[in-house]
Formats: sequence, C-alpha cells, structure tokens
Amino acid sequence: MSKIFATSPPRFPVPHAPLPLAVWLVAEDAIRMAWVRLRQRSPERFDLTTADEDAITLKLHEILVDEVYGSGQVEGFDDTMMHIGSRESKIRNFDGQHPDKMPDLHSALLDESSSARVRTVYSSNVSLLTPNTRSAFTTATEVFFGSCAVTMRGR
Amino acid sequence: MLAFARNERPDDDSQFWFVSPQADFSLNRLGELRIDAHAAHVLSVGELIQESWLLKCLAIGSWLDVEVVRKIRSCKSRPLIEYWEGDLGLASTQGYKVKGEPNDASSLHVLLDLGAPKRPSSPFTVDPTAYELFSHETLDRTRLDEKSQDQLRAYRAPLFLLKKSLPPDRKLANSLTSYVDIAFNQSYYGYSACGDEDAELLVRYLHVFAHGSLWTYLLLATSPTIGTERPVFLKSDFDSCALIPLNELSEIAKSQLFQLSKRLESADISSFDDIDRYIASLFGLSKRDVEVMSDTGDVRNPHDELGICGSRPTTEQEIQHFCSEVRAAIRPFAKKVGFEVNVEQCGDQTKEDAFRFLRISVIDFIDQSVDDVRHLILQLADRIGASLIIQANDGVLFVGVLNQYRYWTKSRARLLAADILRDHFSTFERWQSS
Repeated sequence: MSKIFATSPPRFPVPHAPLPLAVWLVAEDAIRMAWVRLRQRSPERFDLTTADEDAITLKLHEILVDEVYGSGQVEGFDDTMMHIGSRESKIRNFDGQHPDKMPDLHSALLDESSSARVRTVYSSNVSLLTPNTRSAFTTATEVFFGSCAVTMRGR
Repeated sequence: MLAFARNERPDDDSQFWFVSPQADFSLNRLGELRIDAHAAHVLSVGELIQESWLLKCLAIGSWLDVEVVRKIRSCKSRPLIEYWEGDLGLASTQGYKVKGEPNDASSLHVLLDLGAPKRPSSPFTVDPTAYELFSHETLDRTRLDEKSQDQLRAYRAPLFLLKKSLPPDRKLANSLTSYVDIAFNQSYYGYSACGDEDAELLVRYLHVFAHGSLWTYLLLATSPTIGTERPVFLKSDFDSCALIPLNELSEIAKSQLFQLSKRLESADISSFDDIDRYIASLFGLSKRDVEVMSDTGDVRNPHDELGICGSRPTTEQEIQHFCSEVRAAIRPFAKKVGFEVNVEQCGDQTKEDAFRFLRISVIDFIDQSVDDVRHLILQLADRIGASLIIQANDGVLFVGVLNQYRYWTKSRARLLAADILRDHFSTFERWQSS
C-alpha cells in the first residue's frame, strides 16, 4: 500500500515546495484505514471481488468521509488541518491552465489557495538587504514576511 | 474595494487577484492601510459566477469562511424564498410605506398596527393587547395583494416579522412572531405562513433560525451591506439564505424547535446557546466550523465599522490559547515522522510591542539565540507592511504575528499551522535528520 505514493519526481515546475512527508503519511494512513474497513465488509454489504473500479472508489470515499475523517482514528486527518473533497470534484491545477482536474479522491491542507499568496523572502544572499543588515544574518537564517505586495500610504 | 480590469471579455477560466484590506483602527487613523497576507486570493470568473458571495466572504474572512459557507449551502438546504413562496406557496413582503403617493389604505383598518404600540411589550412576540388599530387613511405602498382573494394576505397570522436593521445584540430581538393579523411598516420584512398545515411551527422555525448566530454570520459573509455599509440588510439577503425545509426535520428536531421557540418568546436569555447548538447540528457544522463563525463574527462585528475590536492588542491568555492551537494542529504530523514540537511565547515582550513572537521548535532543541537580528527584521516588516514574520533556523522557527487580536484567533492559529506545515516543516525535519 505504501507504494501508492511512490511516484517519480514531477516533471513540471510547481509553485511551491513539496509537501512534507508527514502529510503524505497521514493521508496514506487514512486511505489504508478506509481500505481495511472496506475489506472487512461482508460480501452481502460490499463484494470486493465483483465490484468495478468506480464502485470501489465510491465506497472508499464514503468510508473515508463517514468513518475515518474526524473520527480520531488517524491523528491529523480531521478538519483542524485537512479537508476532504467530494469524489471526483473538479479542481484546477497549480497554474489554473487545467481547471477541470478530477482526481478520484482529493484531500488537502487548509487554505490551499495560499499558493497564491505573495511572500517576501529575505535571506543572507538577498540583495535588498544592505551590507550591514546582510552580515547580521547567518547563512542558515531565512526570514519570510507574510504580506501582500501592496502597502498603500497616503492621507 | 477597487477593481482593476482589462477592457476585454474574460472566459470562465480567466483569473484575477482579489485583495481586500481590513479596517485597522490605529493604522487607518494615520491614513494608512495594511493588507494581510491571507487577504490576497486568486479567483476565477467561473467561480465568481457560480458563487457570487465569494468576494464578500473573502473580504470579511478567509478561505476557512468560504468552506463554512459552502458547507451550509451544500447541505439539504434550499434558498428560503424558493421554499417559502415556491414550494409552500406562502406570502412574504416588506412592510407598508407611509410617505409618498396617497393610496387608499382603508382596507387595513381591521388590522392592528405594529407601528402603533399602546405600551411596551415583549420584543420577541406580538402581544395583541399592546397595539392600536391601524389608522392611516393613505399609504404610498399598502402591500395589498390585488391578485389574491385575500388582499390582506401578507398581514395574516401566523407571521414572522424580521427587523431590517440588525440590532447590536441578538438578545435585543431581531424579529418577532405574531399569532394575530397585524400590519407592519417598512422597517420589517414579513413572512406569513397563513394557510399552511404547519403554519405555526414554520413561523417559529424562522424565528429561531433568525436568532441563531448562523444567520448573523451568513449575513456578514454574504450580504452586500452588512459589515461594509450600515447594518441594514435587504430582504433578498434573508430570502437567499439557506434553510433546511421543515419537512426534512425529524419529529424530535421539530419538538426541540418548538421548545426553543417557546423559550425565545418568553425572552429566556439562556436559550441562545441552545439555539446555536441546535442550528449547528441541523446543518451538520463541526466544532471547527462554529469556531470560524465565532472568530469572524468577533473581529468583523457589523456594528464595529472602525475595526476597533480586531485592532486591539492581544491578551496573554489569547496568546496562550493560540500557542496551544498551533501545537495541537502540528503535533500529529510531527509525531508521524518521529518528533514532538513545542510552541511557546518568546520572553522579553510587552503587550505594546508591534509584533508578538512565538518560538516553535523541536522539543529537544537547544536554543542558539538569534535575537540580535530581531530589530532588523522588525524594520523590514514595517517597511513592507507585513502581518506575519517567520524566521527559520534549523530546528526552530521564530514566528512574529502582528499584535492585533484579529491575527490571534483560533482560526488564525490553524491557518498559521497549515502555513508552517506546508512551507516550513523542513526546518524541523532537517534538524531531526542531522
């Protein structure tokens, strides 16, 4: 099951750093939990041997939403930090060029739109810093300023 | 709100930036404004056509609010007016208007007049002995229904009468029920359930719903006027709000509704929390959803046009709660990869400081102070109008949050935790692996 996320690195540039392993592991645990529960269903309730892909995905999504998400069985897989989309919901790709992507299952961290946020990053090699300021930063230090690009002033 | 546009018809997938500043009492007094990092969003035209309330919702809140409103609208609810007039065939109207053209109003003389009280009475329900009969000879708008057999249809009991001006506190009553026919003026929007087999319960349902914090929140998140202009809303705001049809409610839920309504009509102040819990359960809202509604209502109170509440310095207790929320949100993910995080307030700070700093570190991290650059960082933050500073060293993050309550709510703690998880978690991972 762990191979479910073992993909090669993406071949397209993305606007953000890869999600940390911890997020993948939480999502993987949730899917694994749902899968175990699906397999435990009696054949009268759901027969895995005869069901087609759509039926299995639908049932898996139902179990994820109704029995796993927010149940406390998988720590972190709840509405504190993650949300779970409806099955085959339409979502856009990172740059909006493909607005109708329809993954079978979709879960995301809160405020996924934040990839749109403007961040100003200062580190020791950023030229905006004056020489004096730059020397005060160690090479290991990075400072992120969460702000919008625009600060308006005027009376 | 300013809109910058290209004179060219966009297609549905065209995107634009939506940036909305918040009322900031101290800064606005100086003729300046700040735009928070969480207040800049990329939206598509298609999204806006589907959900026309998006801009308003994002202007007063965050994406968390968008998710809550979507959840409310996507449950088994229907827009009120479609349910009331379309499904049930009942009447609703704004009240009569006095000034203007002199039209004959003698047909209304058989009714009591809500605008002519003899004495003070309950603000939650009409006491028929407390009102005079309607006495105007003419009205500009009578609201008589000329097409109906009963011209006074809009004034027939049972009635739900909603004040169009939002009171500063719902405990002052934003609406009332009437079980007698009564004329009401243009300060009210009236919904008559006369003729329906569940008429009384329908009116009680609207009365309880209107006194829930969900309704005030929906107004704030979707009404074009509330929270941006004066606290007066349009009838279409109530008409378009999501309501679960009465026949979808279980018998137990209907019974609870009746009891809550009776308590509300008797001005039982303790009923409000129970009303909120009842409505949240009807709409399937989680504790987190309610928290988002409460936080947004607090910092964007419609009666606080200057944003005084959101601009005040945060308290020590709020900072402690904020730290706990961030820790609780990050902890399951850290645990998954084998470490614990600690979130605490940095020492040597005063409540007057522009930013309050938190220290988020792996639990065994040995501090190597980097405070010597803090003053430079603050200068830079001021220069670019930042509301959030994250100073990252391996194993530790120093997070500066602008010292205003609006940035220290529980919802903002979750947004910060998501930011850290998405963009800065490697700080801890690197330290862990070294």
